[in-house]
Amino acid sequence: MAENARQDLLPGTLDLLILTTLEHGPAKHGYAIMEAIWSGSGELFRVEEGALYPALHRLEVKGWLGSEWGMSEANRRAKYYKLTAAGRKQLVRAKADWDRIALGMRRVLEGL
Amino acid sequence: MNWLQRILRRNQLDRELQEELAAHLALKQQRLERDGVAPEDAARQARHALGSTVTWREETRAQWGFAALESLWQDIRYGLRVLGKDKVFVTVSLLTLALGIGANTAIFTLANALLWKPLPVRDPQELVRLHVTNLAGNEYAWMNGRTEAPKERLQIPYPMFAELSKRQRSFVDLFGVAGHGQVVLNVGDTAHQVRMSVVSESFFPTLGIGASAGRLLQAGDDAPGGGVAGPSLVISDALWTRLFARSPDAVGARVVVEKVPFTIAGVAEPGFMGIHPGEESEVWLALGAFDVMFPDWKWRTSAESWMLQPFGRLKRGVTVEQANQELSVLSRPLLEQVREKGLSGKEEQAFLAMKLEAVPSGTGYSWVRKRFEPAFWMLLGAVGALLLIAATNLTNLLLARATARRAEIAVRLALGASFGRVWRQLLVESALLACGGTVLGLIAAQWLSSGLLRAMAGDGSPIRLNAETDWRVVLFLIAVLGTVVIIAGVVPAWSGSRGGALSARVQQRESASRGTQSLRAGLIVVHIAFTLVLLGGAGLLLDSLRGLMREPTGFDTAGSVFLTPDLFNAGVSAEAMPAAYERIVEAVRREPGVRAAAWTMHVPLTGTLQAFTIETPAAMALPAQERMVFTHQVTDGYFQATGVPLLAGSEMPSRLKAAQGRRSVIVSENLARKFFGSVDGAIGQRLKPGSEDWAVVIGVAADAKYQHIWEKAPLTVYTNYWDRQKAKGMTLVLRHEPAMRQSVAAAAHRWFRQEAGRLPFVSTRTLEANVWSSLATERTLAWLFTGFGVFALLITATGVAGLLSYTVQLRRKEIGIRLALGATPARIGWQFQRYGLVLGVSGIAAGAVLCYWLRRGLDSFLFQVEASDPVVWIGACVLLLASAVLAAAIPSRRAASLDPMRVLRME
Repeated sequence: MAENARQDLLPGTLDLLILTTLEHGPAKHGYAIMEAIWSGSGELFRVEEGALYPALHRLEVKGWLGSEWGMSEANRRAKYYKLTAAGRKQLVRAKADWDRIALGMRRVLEGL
Repeated sequence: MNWLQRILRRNQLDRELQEELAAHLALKQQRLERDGVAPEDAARQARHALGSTVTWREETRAQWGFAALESLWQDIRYGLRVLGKDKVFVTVSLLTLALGIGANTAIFTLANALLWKPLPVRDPQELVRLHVTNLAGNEYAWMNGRTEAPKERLQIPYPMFAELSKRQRSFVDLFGVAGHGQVVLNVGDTAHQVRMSVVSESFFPTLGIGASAGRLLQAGDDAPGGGVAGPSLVISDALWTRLFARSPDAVGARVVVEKVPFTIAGVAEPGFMGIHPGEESEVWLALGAFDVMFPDWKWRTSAESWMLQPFGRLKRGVTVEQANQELSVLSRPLLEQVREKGLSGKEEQAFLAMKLEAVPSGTGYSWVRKRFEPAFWMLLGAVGALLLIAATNLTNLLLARATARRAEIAVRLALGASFGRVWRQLLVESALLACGGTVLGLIAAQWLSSGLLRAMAGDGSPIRLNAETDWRVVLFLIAVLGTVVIIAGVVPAWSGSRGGALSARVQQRESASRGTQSLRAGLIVVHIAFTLVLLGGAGLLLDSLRGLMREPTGFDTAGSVFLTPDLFNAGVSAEAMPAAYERIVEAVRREPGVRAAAWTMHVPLTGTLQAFTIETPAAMALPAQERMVFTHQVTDGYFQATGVPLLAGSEMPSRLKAAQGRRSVIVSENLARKFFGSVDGAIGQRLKPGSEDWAVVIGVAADAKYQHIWEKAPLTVYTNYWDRQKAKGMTLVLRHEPAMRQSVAAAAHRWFRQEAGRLPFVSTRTLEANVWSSLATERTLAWLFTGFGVFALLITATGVAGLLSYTVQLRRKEIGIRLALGATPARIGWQFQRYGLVLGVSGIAAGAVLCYWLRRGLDSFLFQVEASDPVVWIGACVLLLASAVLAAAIPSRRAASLDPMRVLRME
């Protein structure tokens, strides 16, 4: 099950999903991002923790995400992520790329 | 946060990650509880959904970018632990590596300093030396005991140099070096022996050398009597430290060189030792010094004194070819100025056809380099072979270990270690060994290189090199290390991880091991091939050395001692010298234990030789080079003192008799036969040595070698010192009772002191020591090759034994079955013995190809031995084969003595 969820996502799409989730609204912690992707995809994509946290840290190292510590609903400190300026630019680029891929895929599939 | 900050704050990052995950867990649990799950279940489910926290925490940490570093650290610690358990293996491989790397570094450092390192001057690539080439071909010289026809004259007369400096347009400037040597420098009352160079005033400015203190030689210093301040000299920074403790008072101080007063003008910049690698200069005199040191010598105008070696610095943008075009035009008018007198028309044409030529000389010029270059190339080849053997031996050891560790590797792979990780672990282990070997090797290289320099030069003249490490040495070391790690690390790692994986998964242990085994057999064949080259080389060099040691020199080498006192600098004037010499020799002859005593100009077998053309009434028609002979000044008693037998006639007359009678000479046997037909026929004949007066041959002495044992005994004329009484710096030769050398030499020292008023510098030599020391290079090479050969032989033998016992181990089952089916133990043993023999024979065959290819390499080092000497090569092959067979014997016997029942039960 866990493997399936990960394999369902095209490579690179997880980054795009995380960035999109953080585009609007306040900073979110890891669990909220996971929930947002789950509900936002109409309960299609379940991101596992084993994929989410490495991705979050990778995006932070790349400078696309910033982070700060805040209090969570569970009454304990949690790490909140938000988009940086570089992250926003990357999101625009990644969205454009994705649109092109989706368009291409659709044309090919419908052509068949 | 950049990479470095993340590393430094690693612990904090770790804590934060922990906390982040804990928060996640709490949130998830809260959510489950809100959905109506019981609290205990919620906690369990949350943790369950989180999966293996450890794995993905590791993955998250990997994003920080230094997981590789951390696991490398792990690998190193693990590697050290594993190596620590196998002490024999570690010791053997460290020692082999240390020797391989040490020998390579030592030889390369020296070769670099002697052959390739640019001079520490400004833009050394612009420096050229000039020589005269296109010689008529009738000149010849003795070099290291061999007669050579030189291709060029290195020096030119001063007038030609001065004119060339004026006319040339290609060079920023020219400078000249008028030879160098050891002199006595008196500072106050203390005398020091230093190495001196006489150079033109343009030397320092053209080289672009600065001063540590004072000023260097400058325009005006070449003038008669020196510059404004009179004759001045420059000392090296090292000498400034040694004699003056870097005191500023040294500048302007008065010193005395060979009894002539000089002023120290300044100190050259640190690290500058002249432009002759291997011959360090500590004092530089300007050409003007010649006027005060040798007032009779008309060097400034003389066309005959070819005394100055010219160098130049090319102008920016001028190539050597362009400079040579200009020089080729300038040559003829310059040569016309210094035309030799008394040349025939044809000879004069040949003289004027000579050409000045520029040769790039950014590394300076040195006879030490010329002499030792072939030896260094040979040594580089030998240590290269040694390194290959050391590295492949390490490969072999690691392969054996990899096989032994197959179980461990299989477990690690099964537990999920990636191929790459196992691979890297094995690489790290070889890298650790390589590092350890390098450290030991560098330590060994330190004393190897200084010892080697001493050993190769003999006692004669020490070679001083600026052997500091530069980028070439570093690059070489990196290349050496790279070779070791690649040969010794990659191969076993590849075969180890592959073999391990196979055996873990498919249980095909045998096929995997067979691959390893043939690889190891190949390596051993390579070992044997290189060992044959080294052993054969050692055999040839040893044989040649034995020949040289036995070669008669013509002297009775035992029981005589040569003492050269520097009476001149100790206070005896040139005029008083002959009388002092006579008093000393007379006095010494009366000392107990002295059998004979005489003065001689040359000490045999130290490399000095002077040749002149002689004339005899019958030989005038012969061309000049046919009449070149070695001329030697001696006094009465010389032949008795050196043990050269007189074949006919009598000894030299004493000083008293010489003053009354005609000039007399004694000739060598080969000269007598060549010019007078026979030994007896020479007596009473007339002969004119060089520019001296005609003399009568009063005796014929047996042939003797003067320069080097290599040489054919030179045609020799002995003139009587008492006839002209001109030379100074003569040597007292004493034949003494056995075991009385000490007391006889001490007596001579007493008489020297008596004459000079104080004890002069005395250099003491014996013929045995001269023979020993003149063969220093040959001996060093022979012993080094022998050492390398024995080392290689040991490695090869252990390699064969190791491979065979491994093979026996691998084929226990097969052996057991065959024994059970009735094969005799002898037959089994023979099978493995034969394998050792096959390895030996194939290695020798490969080595023979290698040797054939390298056959010319040793020629210039071999004395009366052919490179194809059958005794040496058969000996080397037999030694190798015997070692291989012996090494194979132990495992073979073990195979033969296996108990079939036990083996089969165990399998």
